Amino acid sequence: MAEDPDLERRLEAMFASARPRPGFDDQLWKQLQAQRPWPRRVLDWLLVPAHLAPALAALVAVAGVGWLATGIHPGSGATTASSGAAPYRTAPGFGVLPALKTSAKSSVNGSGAAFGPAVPVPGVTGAPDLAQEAPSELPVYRFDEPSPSELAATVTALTDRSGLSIKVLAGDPAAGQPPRFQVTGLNVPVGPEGQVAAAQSFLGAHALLPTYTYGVISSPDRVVYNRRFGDPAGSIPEVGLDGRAVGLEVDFSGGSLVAVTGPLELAVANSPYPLRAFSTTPAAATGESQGQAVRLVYVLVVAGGHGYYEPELLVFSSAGFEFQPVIAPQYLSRT
Amino acid sequence: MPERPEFEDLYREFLPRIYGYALAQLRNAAEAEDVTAQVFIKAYQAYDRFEPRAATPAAWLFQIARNAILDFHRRAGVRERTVEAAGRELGEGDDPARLAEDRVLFGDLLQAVRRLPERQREVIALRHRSDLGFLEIGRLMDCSEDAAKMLYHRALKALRAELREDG
Repeated sequence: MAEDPDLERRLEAMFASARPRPGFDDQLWKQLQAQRPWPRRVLDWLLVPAHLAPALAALVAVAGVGWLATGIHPGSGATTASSGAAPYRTAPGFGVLPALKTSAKSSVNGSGAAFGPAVPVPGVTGAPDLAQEAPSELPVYRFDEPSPSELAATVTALTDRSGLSIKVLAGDPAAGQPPRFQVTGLNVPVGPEGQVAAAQSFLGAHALLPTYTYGVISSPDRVVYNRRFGDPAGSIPEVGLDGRAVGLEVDFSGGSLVAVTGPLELAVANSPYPLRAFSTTPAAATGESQGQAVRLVYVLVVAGGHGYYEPELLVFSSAGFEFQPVIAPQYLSRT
Repeated sequence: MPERPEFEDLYREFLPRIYGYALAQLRNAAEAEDVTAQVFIKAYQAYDRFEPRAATPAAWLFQIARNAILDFHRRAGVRERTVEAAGRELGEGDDPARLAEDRVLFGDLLQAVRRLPERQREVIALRHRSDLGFLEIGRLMDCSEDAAKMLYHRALKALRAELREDG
């Protein structure tokens, strides 16, 4: 019953990208597990599946040897180093990160400090309790800004691969723009299957489909392949400094596909960074807790010859929006 | 004879689908998460009574979800009437912050779906999130298969009109 394939594809894409915030599934699962009566939990613990038994036996043996070898025994006062919560002694992989600078709405509490206010918990019904649910660290992704000769080589490679006349745009640090490629002057009629299908078909035919994890967002004149970070499903969207989802954009006009603009897919390394402490007292932190909505996003910060995709909180209020850092302040540049 | 799957398998598969179904019918992500949590808590408690021969897991879970949303609306109605009686301003669902947040993620499509009449947005959400056929959707919505198809057809038409107004 495909009576409006384009609209139905847009609905499919929208519903497919609708996911609860990261960590919600695990938190709810723990809540469900905690509901079981304790005799059942003990029983489950005792009934180790047979296929796990050898691994469990090996684990017990290794733990026993380790216990004997290290001399760290209960009551000795020593702590294990395997908790995964060991503090960082030095800045993680990329050192101190450039902090996002934006001309968006100023800090809610007016402090204007480089680190911004403590991260608030939004005062909305059912809002996440970030203090309990936020992860302790998130990866930062980094690429090296290409040199002019590398950009030229990229143009050649993209042109050869796509069979199109490709223009490359240098990155714009002030606008938070990575180096991009652009194809303009197109006039590809959109068929009855609609613009999402047209975009997919065109990008596929010219080997321009993103290799990054993405969600497709369609509006009347544009289809955006929004880059997603986070777990394998890619639940954390990248947004631009204007707060809108960004990625490869396919533009339409007058029923035709007319242009494609997308980030160059540069090699990206990643390194986990500890997150700041989250305040649970929004009123104290911001002086404004009602009517806020918060979304974990990634934003590109370009500085020092690198582009960094850094996690930020995008905080909406009736007055607009602002970004608030989530990386621990000691790992963010003050300038 | 269909076997009862592990609850965790159901949970992992259906959590995003139930969430999406709820998101289209409620005002924001927080409400959708509330309802999603209620659905799985109820399902978990009732799983011993789930009979795979009587219903597919999808039909069973979406029936629970449908009831949870109806219940949520009932409770919200009572709460808002209480607030209204206290002379406070309503309209939380139209909070520009939340509308802006949704636009970041979904464009204007989600808001257009939410503006549809209740049964139309429900049939759209079921059609695109439940993987159920129109026969089962009709059973869930207390109507025939043909009526469910017709409802979906009208919902798409209304949605197109909403999007044209937005555009």
